[in-house]
Formats: sequence, structure tokens, C-alpha cells
Amino acid sequence: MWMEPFDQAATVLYALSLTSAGGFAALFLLRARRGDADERTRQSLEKHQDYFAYLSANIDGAEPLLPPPGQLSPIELKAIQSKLLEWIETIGGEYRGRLTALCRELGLVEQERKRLRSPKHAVRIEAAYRLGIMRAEQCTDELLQLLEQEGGESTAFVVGRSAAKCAETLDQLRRLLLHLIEYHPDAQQLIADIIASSSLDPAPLYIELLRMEDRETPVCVALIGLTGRNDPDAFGPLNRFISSECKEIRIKAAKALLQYSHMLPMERLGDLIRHSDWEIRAVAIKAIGEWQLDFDIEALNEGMADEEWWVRHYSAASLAQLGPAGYPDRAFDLSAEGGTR
Amino acid sequence: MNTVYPAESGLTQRLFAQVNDTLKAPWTECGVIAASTHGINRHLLHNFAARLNKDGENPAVQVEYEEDTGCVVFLLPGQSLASTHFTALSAKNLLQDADLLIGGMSVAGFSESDPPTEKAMNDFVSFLDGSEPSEIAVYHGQPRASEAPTVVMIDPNADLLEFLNIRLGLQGYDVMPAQDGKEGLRLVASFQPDLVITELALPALDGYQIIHRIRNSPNRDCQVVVLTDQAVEQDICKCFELGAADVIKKPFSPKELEARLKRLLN
Repeated sequence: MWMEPFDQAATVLYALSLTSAGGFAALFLLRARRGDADERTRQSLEKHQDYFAYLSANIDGAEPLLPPPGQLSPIELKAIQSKLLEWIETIGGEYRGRLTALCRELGLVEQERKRLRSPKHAVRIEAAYRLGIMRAEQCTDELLQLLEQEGGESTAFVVGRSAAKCAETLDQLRRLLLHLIEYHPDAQQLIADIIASSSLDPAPLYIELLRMEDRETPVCVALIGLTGRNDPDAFGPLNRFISSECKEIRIKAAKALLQYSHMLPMERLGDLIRHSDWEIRAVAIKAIGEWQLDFDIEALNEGMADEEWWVRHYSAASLAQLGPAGYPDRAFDLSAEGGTR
Repeated sequence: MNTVYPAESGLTQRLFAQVNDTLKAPWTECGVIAASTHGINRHLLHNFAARLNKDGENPAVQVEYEEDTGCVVFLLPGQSLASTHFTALSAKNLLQDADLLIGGMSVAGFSESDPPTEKAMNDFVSFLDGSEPSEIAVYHGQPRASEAPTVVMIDPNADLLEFLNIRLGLQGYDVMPAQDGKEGLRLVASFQPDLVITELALPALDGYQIIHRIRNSPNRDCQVVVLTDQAVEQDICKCFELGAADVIKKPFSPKELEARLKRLLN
């Protein structure tokens, strides 16, 4: 059917207007529903204000914290859950355990466990996140299964952190660690951070990873995880990696090894100070000042003439940290020497 | 409307005697709940006692209405402060459902090893007068507000402010919460607190600016404790350089925080 151009334009405009109006109506509806839900949550929180005061006041008592008296509507339970999860995230120590026990008592763990089996991906991820906060140890295996389904997706980190928080055994933590290393080899720092959120000591797992000498990612994750710790069992394996063929591994091993300065023979420290990698020279020289090690001052003086600015910088800083013993004339030359990069 | 309870009132003396009698035998603990209410008849008092003992949790509960002071008193032999506080939630629901509650409520717990003195009982009764309408005030042996060290607490997390407000209040501190830096500084200038607890990441003014401004204000002797999510090495060093008395990283142990505050303020 032939239509005049004006009629065609009018039809298109009419259709566009209808679509826009429909879109705006849907947006307003969603906004109104969200506003209504927020308002009901606020009212529920207000209604249970005394209950939260009871929890705050008695969180350090000998008796277990009790669920609120009377029946709770789903919206009230949701509001109470939101407040409890917020508290658990901020509060550590023994009080956190009392709040997670209350979450179990309120049936929140079971509720989220059911949501883990939801057909909707977003619901499963949210449930995993909440189970992690509630330290739901009984759900660790289900979280690990969910993690394996996530594969290389970024949401695997959310599920992984939850599984780490809930893990009860080193076997569970090992399964988690190996999965993350396999699917996210570039996220080494994040993997170590996720493993650190577990209440278990991951050092034995990292020492196992150090035995995988032919694989760079597990070794790097282990070296990151072991940095900042002081576990004598790690000292031997770390020492071997200083001569690794991979530069990144050598540097990370040196950083981790220098945490054990009390176990490090002076000759070994000397080797690190004269290492061919300037990054290792710099961290070794920095450690002398930080740990106030009784080391030959001459090596630090030599460091002041190093070709790398960072080595010179840490040499001067360490000499200054050593006090009067570390104040040969050269320590004052930093600015004169152009102490800028 | 709250009734003003004169010091050493008849209510104080009756409660003092009743609680001490209860603690003689066989009970080692006794909880007390008091609430400002309209007049309540004997039948309703029995009904309340029966409903509070619905699950056999408060077998010896005694409920009495004090005509001269216009308040109802629940005596809970064998109950600790925590249990008494929990029972007070149900008692409040009962009173509100019956439209009887006209003022605040207060709860206290006494034990054989820590029996009430007349002064403690008088403080407890005064709490009823000082509490907000419908609020349940917990008497924990804390000093009156005028004697308490003042603390301004600045954190954008309202849930955390609420939690610490109650915790520190029970430790005897007079806490003033603020959710942003500007409001926090206003409270510091108005009340000249003994101590400020601040987060570093704040809207309007950040924690570093708060420390700096306090250090350069007439109230420069006020202690500042940083309680923050972002405590990496550099943040901690900067806080101490600016003059913070302590830095605590979140998630934190409230027990540890309370111990650190006590050390700073004593």
C-alpha cells in the first residue's frame, strides 16, 4: 500500500514514541519497585533496631546470640541479613564467629545454599558471595563445584574468595588454588590475596607449589604468598630459586628469602648484594638497613656507586638507618650526586 | 512523657531489696526490666508473666506495676544481663501491642558476685528517665554521661557507627557519630572530645585532613585513632607523621579497639 512520505514519517515517529514511552514506563516501574523494596527494608531495620542493639551489647557475652523473638517475614529476614553481613565484613576476631553462628541459626546459610542451585547465574554468584561472608564451612564443596563451572570467567574470583573463606581443610584450599592457577595464570597477585583470606595457613601448599619447579605460574604464586611470612620450612626451597632461569622468579624468591634474614648466612647475603639483577641488589641492600643487619659497610659504600639509581638510593637509605656506623662521608653525597632519577 | 525519678526513690529501694532477696538463694543471677507505662491491671500482669514464660525460659518471672512511679518492673531470677536484654525485646512487644508503653525501658543484670548497691540501683532507675521513648537502655554500671569521656566517631558506614555507638556507650563513652569529614569536624569543634576515631576514606574531607585540622585547632591535644580499610604501609606511616595516636585496620576486633581506647584515655 502506497503511503505519502509524511504518513510514513508519522508512522515511524508514532512507533518510536510508543517504544520510548514503553521503555520509560518499564524504567519507572523498576525504579518504583526498587524504591518500594528499599523502603520496606528500611522499615524492617527500624522495627528491629532494639534487636541490633541487643546484638551489639551482647556480642562479647558467654551466651550464644539468639534470633529475634517472634516470626520474621521474608523482607525482615533479608533486612536482618544485610545488616549482619555488613557487620561480619567489618568485624574480625572472635565476634565474627558469633555472628556467623547466628546466621546459621537464622537459617540464612541454608537459604543461600539453595540459591547456589538457582538457574540464574547472577543469583548463584550472589549466593556464593554471601556464603563466603557467613563462613559457611558446610558449603565449601558446593562452592568449589561452582568455581569449576565458572572456568575462566572473572566471576570465578568472587566464588574463589568465598570458597577460601569457607575452606576447612588444606585439600579444599589446594583444589581451589590449583583451579585458579590453571584458569587464571595472569592473576598471580589476586590468587595469593584470595588464598590469604582463608583462616587456614596456606604455607604448606605454597611449599608444595615450589616443588613444581618447571611451571612458572605456581612458583610465582607461591613466592608471592610466602613473601611477608616467616616460615622456616620455606627457607630451603626459596634459596634454590635465586638461581632460576626466570628473572621474575629470581626476584620474587630474593624478596621472600630476605624475610628470613636471621637464617641467611652473611656470604649468601653478600651474593645477593652483588647479584647480576639490579632488582635483587636493591632489595638486599634495602633489607640491611630495614633489619639493621650487621653487615660489611663497605658493600653499602660500593652500592652508592652502582649504575642503577634504586641500588644507590637504598644504599644511602640503609647507611642512614644504620645510625652513626653507617655515616661514612658518601652517605651525605646523595643529593650532590644528583639524587634524582 | 518520662517521669522524673528522684534519687533514692521508693522504687529504687524496693528494687534494691527485691534483687538482693532474689540473689540470696537459690538464684545466682537476677535480671531487671523497667518500663514507663500506663496503669496495668493484675490480670494483664499475670498474662505478661505467662507469655514471657511461654517456652519455660523465665519460670520465676515476677511482673509488678509501680503505681507511684508509673512503671512496670519485670524481675527475672536466674537470668543474666544478656538473657534479660533478650527478654526485654519480647516484653517491649507485649507492652506496645497492648498500647501501654509511654516512655523508655531499661534493663540491668545483677549477680551474686556483683550484687546491686543502692547507688547502682538508683543509677539504673535514672536510666529509665534518661532513655528515649521506646528505647531499651542497658545499664552496665557505666558512668553518667556527664562523667564519660567523649568520642567523636567519623565513618561513612552507618551500620558500623551504630554498632560501635552501642559498644562504646556500654564501655562508658559518650559517643557522637558523623558520616562525613565536615560533620565530624563540626562535632570536634562543638564538643571538644577526648578522642576522635576516623576512617581515612571519607566524603567531603578525608581522614588525613581531619587529623591535620585537629592538630592545628585549639583542640590539638585530642587523640586521633584511625580505623580504616586502606592501611597499607604508606598510609600507616602518613597517619603517624600527621599525629595519629593509633592506626587500626579493618576488619578489626572490637575487643582490641576497646582495649586501645582504654589505654589512650587512661
